Amino acid sequence: MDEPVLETQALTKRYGSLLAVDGLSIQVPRGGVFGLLGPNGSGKTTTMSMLLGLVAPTSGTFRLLGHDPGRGHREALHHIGALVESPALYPYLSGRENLQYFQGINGGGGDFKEIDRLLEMVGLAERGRSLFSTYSLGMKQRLGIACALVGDPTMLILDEPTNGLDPAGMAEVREMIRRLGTEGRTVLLSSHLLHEVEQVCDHIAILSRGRLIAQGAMRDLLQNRGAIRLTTTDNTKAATIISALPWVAGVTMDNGYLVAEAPPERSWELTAALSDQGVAVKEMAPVQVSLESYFLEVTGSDGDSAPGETS
Amino acid sequence: MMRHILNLMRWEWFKLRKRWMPWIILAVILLYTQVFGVWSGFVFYRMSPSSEAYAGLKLPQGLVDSVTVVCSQVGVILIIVLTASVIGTEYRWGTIRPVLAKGTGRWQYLASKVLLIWLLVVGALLVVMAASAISSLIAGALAGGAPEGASISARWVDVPIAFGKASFFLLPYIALATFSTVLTTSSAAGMAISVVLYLADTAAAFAFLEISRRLETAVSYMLGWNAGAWITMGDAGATDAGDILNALPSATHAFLVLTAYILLLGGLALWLFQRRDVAAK
Repeated sequence: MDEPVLETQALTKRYGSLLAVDGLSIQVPRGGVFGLLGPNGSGKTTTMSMLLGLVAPTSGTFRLLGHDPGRGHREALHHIGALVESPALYPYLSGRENLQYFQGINGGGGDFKEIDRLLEMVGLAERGRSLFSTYSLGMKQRLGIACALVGDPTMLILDEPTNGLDPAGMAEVREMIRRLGTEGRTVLLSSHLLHEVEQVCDHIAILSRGRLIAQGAMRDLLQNRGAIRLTTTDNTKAATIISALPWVAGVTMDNGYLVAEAPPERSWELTAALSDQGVAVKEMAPVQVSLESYFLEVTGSDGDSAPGETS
Repeated sequence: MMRHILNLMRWEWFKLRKRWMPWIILAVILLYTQVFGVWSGFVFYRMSPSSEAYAGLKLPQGLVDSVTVVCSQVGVILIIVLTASVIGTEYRWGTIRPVLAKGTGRWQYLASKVLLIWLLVVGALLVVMAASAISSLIAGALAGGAPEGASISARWVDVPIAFGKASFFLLPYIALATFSTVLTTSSAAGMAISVVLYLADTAAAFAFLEISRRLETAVSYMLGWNAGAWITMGDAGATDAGDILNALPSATHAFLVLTAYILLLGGLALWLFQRRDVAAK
């Protein structure tokens, strides 16, 4: 198995009495999109800032692209593109000049083809020569993403990249992130929207009050919380049989259907157990838990934001 | 490492030349030195001709006077404004975060800014001297023949010396403004603190000497006092401008004290910049 591109160990940041990040240990695998999810003040931005060397950890350590925070961290940062919080670029420079500047300090000034390609990619080819100060919030956000992509980084760290975009712009950026994640890059993303994370991420880590609540492949996390919905020739007898299976957490009745709290991939075992006892299955379907319900379940009362959103 | 800093300086210049501020500051310095240097001397000479006033209109004295005017009058305040603005706006716009997140290296980034500002000082002094040379030639021609007993007080060898001294003179003030701005993470606060310290330091030195001669030792280590001593050509013994000016330390002493200020303030600024968290806007 590939070495993870990022591995944190007991990463902690304390501001006076406030514990912003509390012993965070996560592993981000190479390739794909990794979502960092959590309600207000859960430590997502602080974590990203520590990884980018903007904020010093109080304790704990991390390895980023195979480099420790001390020596070699700067080398690792050369291969990372980042957009942390709002896009902060030079207001008196044009979009094109901003990209030129970031290309230059990264040691690769003068590649105008790359600048044209990036402006095209984020839909700013027409406005590339306008001053950054004249851009709308959405345009600024898109230029921020283009800036993060300067130098063709192997990893992207994007904090709320769809902030300020209209629905069409959000869809475009999600599609772009999805594409970047499948081109061999690793994207570490924190998002405002749960359904956005559900759409683009392969792996997630859920934070609450600076602590890690859950992490893993999205499919595994949601599947482990799944259920099987079925109806049989004898639902009463079926309920007794299913309840006796050790890997079934519980059985409930819902509008004439039985709902077994069990991993959907074990549905064939369920069918076999019922068949052995002479009960025939008439209908069966997996019940997938949404990220939203999973998030609310694992964060409990911490979910002080509106349903479907964290911030 | 040096290559990286030079690359950063190149791209700092790319940004800075697109701002209005450095050009406005250059225009102010040029206007000031021409109006209050050569041309006010010309008007003064026409009103009451004297050999000293005549010397100021001729080369190379005009060149030496122009860099002294820059340093002793507007130069310090303008360089504080430029330095605080160049560093402080990175905090205000939040651009410091994406720049550092690119692996730029903290001390290298700050050092590149400070070195570029110093290079701009050198460039501005050259422009001022070129403009003053032209003005001196014109003013000298308009002034006509030399009055009786007139002699040129500065020699051509004094020009590079004055240029070198002026270039060094502004360095501790660049370091002061850098430190104040990094400390406060604000252009306005950085400017305010540096200007107040500059004015207070100069006034305090004179006040201390007026109060008691026993404070002379303390005064001899103050920034403004040594900067003043450094920019006046020659040693303190050479001046005949009164008791207080006679108390100016030697050029060597001034050089050492100014170097200590540059290292202390510059070192503190780099240390702070290196270890401090870069918070969000």
